[in-house]
Amino acid sequence: MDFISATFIGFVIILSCIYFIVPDKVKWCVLLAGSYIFYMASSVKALCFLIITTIVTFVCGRILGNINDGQKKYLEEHKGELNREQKKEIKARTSKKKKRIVALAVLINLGLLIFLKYFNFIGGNINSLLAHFGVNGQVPHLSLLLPLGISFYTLQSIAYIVDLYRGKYAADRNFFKFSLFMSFFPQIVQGPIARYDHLAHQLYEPHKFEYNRVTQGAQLILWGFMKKLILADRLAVAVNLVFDNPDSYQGFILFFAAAGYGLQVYADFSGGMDIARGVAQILGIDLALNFERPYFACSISEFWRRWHITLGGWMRDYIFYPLSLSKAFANLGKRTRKIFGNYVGKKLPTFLSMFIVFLLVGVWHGSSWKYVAYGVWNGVIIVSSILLDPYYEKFLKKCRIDTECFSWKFFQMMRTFVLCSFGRFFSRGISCMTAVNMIKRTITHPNPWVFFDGSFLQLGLDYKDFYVIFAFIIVLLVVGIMQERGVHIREKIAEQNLYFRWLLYIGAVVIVLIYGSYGPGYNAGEFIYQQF
Amino acid sequence: MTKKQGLRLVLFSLILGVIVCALIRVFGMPTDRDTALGVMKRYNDFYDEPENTWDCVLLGTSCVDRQWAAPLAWKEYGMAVYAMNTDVQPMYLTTYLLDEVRKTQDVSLAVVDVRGIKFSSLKPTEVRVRRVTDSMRFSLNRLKAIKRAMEVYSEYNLYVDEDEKIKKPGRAPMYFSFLKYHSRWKDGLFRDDFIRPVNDMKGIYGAPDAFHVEEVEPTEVTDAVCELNPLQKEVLDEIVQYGEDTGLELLFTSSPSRLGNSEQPEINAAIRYLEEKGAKVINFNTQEKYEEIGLDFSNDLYNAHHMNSRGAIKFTEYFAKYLHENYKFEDKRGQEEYKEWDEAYDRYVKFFEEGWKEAE
Repeated sequence: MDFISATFIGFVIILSCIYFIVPDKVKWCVLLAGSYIFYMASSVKALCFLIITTIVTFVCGRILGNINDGQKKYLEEHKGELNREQKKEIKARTSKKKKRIVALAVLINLGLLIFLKYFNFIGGNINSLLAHFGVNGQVPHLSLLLPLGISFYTLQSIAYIVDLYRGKYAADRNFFKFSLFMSFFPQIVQGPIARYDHLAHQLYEPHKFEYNRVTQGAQLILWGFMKKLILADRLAVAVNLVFDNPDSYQGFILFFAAAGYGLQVYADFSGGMDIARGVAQILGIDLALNFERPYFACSISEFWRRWHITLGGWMRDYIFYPLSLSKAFANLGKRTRKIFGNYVGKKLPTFLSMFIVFLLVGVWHGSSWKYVAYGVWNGVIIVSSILLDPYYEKFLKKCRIDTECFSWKFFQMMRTFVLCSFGRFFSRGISCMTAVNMIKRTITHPNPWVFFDGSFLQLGLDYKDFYVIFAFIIVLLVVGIMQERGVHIREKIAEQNLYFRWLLYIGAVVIVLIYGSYGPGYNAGEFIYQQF
Repeated sequence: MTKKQGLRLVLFSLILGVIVCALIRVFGMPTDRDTALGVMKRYNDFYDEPENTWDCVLLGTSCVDRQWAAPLAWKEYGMAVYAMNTDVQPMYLTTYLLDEVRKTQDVSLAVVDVRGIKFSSLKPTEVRVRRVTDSMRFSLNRLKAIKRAMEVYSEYNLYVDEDEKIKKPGRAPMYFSFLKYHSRWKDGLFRDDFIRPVNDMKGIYGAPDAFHVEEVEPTEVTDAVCELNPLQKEVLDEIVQYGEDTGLELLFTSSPSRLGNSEQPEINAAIRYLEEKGAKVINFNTQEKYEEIGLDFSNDLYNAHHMNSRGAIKFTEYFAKYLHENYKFEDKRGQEEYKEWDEAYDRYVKFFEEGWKEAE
């Protein structure tokens, strides 16, 4: 069931009505049933994988919870009898047990994801490697099903298990309620990647019908539809044409395609998020924010703090900190200080952890070398910018550049946008080598005349489409600037007269209906991040 | 939710609903082409017609409205006979069109042209189907017609080679044409998109080519027949069966025009098949009929398959006389309800005279 479909809208309306009508006690059951119906409507076959992950995570979670409780109870009961060393020993013993459970859960859940998503990629590379030594086709190519949302719910399950290991909260005791946490329908397709302590209690608690909340949720859904149908799917026409025929274009057209893809992904993904958050809001549930105007970022690292925030947060909490604070990395830092000096030695564990994080972010997007390159691209830029930061500061001081004025901030934003756009060649290009060639031809074949000779009108969009794109980007910019200044748009709208509000809502619906890119020839139901 | 909020929600939904309906109406079938506009005008006029005022309806492909001048037949015999044909009208939708007509008009006769039975005409292209279904108002019958058309896509593909198979259009845009036409804002919207255009001459074909003359080689009439395929037979059976089930009298015709040697055997076979089933058929593509009508291939057609407005007069005079003699429709001239038909005749005379004056 696609988000952008009459079926989905009907489904949400019916589910919401049932949710608000049934007694409080069973409200969560309605959400569970709705989530499973939604998942089955999208893919029945893939359901078993979701169930396996849910069972494994729940069972391992219960074991971890029992170990945590057991240890706590034992320590409380023997409070006066145990000395520090004994307590430490008990904790170490239970920690070892817990690690085994965590390893088991991660192995199964992550193993499932790796097998389904990366088996053919890994196998293909092994075969290529073996072919160099004259051995042919050892690893078979399997036609594997990639379950809907597996990349999202697997990370969600790992976060839950690791948090239990850390004793952050108690394990869930109700399997069905936990199943709801794992499968909540607005966020299973493309996130946001939820944390148990933020989402679970909201799902289990009953929510009453609140008129203002429902209308605000509906507004958010409408905004998501606008982003997706007016901007993302319209840009997709030109972007797909260029990326599917990369040899036919060069210079600014290629850059336009890469930058356009960046905007397309943003409108597509954040639009999907708005729909998901809007639906959840109608039901009284607040999903985590996944985007915070990423194109206002002044550096790549800031961009990643604003883009796909829940993935970034997950990587920070479950990869970056554990790695950079690990003993191995601390030792590495100590050793390298002697070779590269204090600054590099001190920063090396952070750099390495960051690099690994971005490599994983790249790989998470898909099983292809181009995604590895995408991760490396981002990792290299961030690490090198930190590494070069002292020299850069010196240079700015020497040139007497005012870093506080608007023009400098604007320059930084543009620079980030351009760097991000070049990175898009990797994530959208057919292959890693194609991406490299496209970058090369973008830089070495500047062709400013394309802005004047109508070349952009040969990309499947006519000038009226460009007007719509331009107009909507302006709207996005204005909304973004207002949000940056702390204005809560929907609250501001709520303060206006009824007539103005209705005019605005009806106008937005009419704009989506007329200017939206849907119908024959379009695949409005598909979201880019759905495939990740 | 308070009562006030509930009321607001209902009111908002109603306003939104009305606006969406208006949008659906504006973004309908494109009106920038004469043929599409002509169909739309005739169908809009049909929906505006006073109930139960028609005697007979004509169905078939583009030749039908080119050769039928309804105001002339009205003037001569006081009969209300209206053409509901569309270009390459899919014959498998005939029964649905008859249902649509019979919702408001208790016609006693339906004249169905068989040119649409040619296998090439049964090819279910989207535009052919849409000319019918997008002209119909939203109803269960329209949905059924679309469903039938979608079935024919599969049936048609059984009889053609792999490379000739037709790809089915998406179901949703067929049922909800707004999904297809909403992007028409790019091509421009015209007055006719906002104000429903109607044909005020009772279905007269009004495009400029009605006043064009093309010298056409006369048909080399042949009796040759070929084998009809199951789809063709099924379509004819459906129509005959419809007549039997509803008691509606049917008359099948083969419109007079230049017919090629490859077309005639299929049409002849259809005529023979219908006659064997006991249906009434008139084949106008015989030497005898051409002479009776007075059809002049060098002067009465604007292209091989279509009559110009002069040819239309000849055919209408002949066919209206036939209908008058064989079906005894009540002469309704002078009745208040039919005032529009008199006005249509006056417009038609003016249109005819000015049209030829301009053309010559």
